[in-house]
Amino acid sequence: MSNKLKKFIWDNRAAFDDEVPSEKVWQHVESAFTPTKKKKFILTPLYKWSMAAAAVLVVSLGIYFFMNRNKNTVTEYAGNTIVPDMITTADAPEVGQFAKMIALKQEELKSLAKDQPELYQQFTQDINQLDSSYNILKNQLSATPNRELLMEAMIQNLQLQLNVLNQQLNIIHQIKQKKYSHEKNTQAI
Amino acid sequence: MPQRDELVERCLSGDSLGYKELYQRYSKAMYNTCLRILNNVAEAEDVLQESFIEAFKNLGGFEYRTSFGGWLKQICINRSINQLKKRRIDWVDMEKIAGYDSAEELPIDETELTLKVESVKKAIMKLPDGYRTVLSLYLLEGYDHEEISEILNVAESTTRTQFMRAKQKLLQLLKEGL
Repeated sequence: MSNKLKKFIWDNRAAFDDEVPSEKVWQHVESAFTPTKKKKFILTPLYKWSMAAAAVLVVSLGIYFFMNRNKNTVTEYAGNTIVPDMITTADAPEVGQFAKMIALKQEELKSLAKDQPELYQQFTQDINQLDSSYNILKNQLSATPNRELLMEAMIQNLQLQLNVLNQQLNIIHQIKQKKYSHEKNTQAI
Repeated sequence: MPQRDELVERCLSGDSLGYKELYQRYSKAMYNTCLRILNNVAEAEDVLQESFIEAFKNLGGFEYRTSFGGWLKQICINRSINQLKKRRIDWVDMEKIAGYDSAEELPIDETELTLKVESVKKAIMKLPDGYRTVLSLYLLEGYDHEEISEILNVAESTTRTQFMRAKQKLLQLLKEGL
């Protein structure tokens, strides 16, 4: 059998590839391959949480200075400890750890802030606000196609809660220290 | 084992522009391969698109058992064949579709024919789906019969027979001036 046809095709191989696909093929490949738009959409709430944290910090500092001026209202306050309604899923073991740490910090805060009821109430409100955002995120979790990003946002929220609690504890420690040194000074006089 | 492809390595290291360069380098050849099997612009573009997306998403698992181009071509061909299978081709009994009757036709001597790229291209696209696929894979993509039988999941003897018939049909079309 002659190979004339085969040889002819191989000698002119490049000329057989002369059709060009339309531009839209690359556009589709590009949009399917780079999920930048989705990421941007999900990252916006994360940005919002950081703003919320900054606001909480400013408010806390304001209260700290306010309390330094009026240290004379002391009444027993029985506040409720808010333990965030956590989910412990296999894909985010950090969630459970955060839940434990947050609960511990809240207990600590509660016992330390017994003599600062207004402050404690304000602090509780801040955490409540973050916690309700957390719950909104958690409710979205079952419906979202971007489970991983949402989990990230939830973990970030828990981190913020923890940070805020730490800041609050710091503030209370500082107040107590000032009070203590003030009392010492008065005794010395 | 083929050498590491600089462009592929660039993509793997996170250079997003590399992907467009890969597309520009290979899309035309891959598109023509798909088009020859499917003989339909819209289907060929869909398969091309899905093949690139599959290749890019799995680039991390590409192991240089073959060149990147060879790997991508396998993806394109497999996807084209799967698309073609939706048309329910019977690979073994193709003469019924082709209207081929070996008893009535004498083999055509290809040495007598004057070959032109345009007319060969047109004649290939006039072949029935099954013939066109086997002939394209053998004559244009450079696969041997063993490889083609694996791709199509039929016996090697079947692809040999189908190729001989496809080639006769092609020569007949060329002789008749299409």
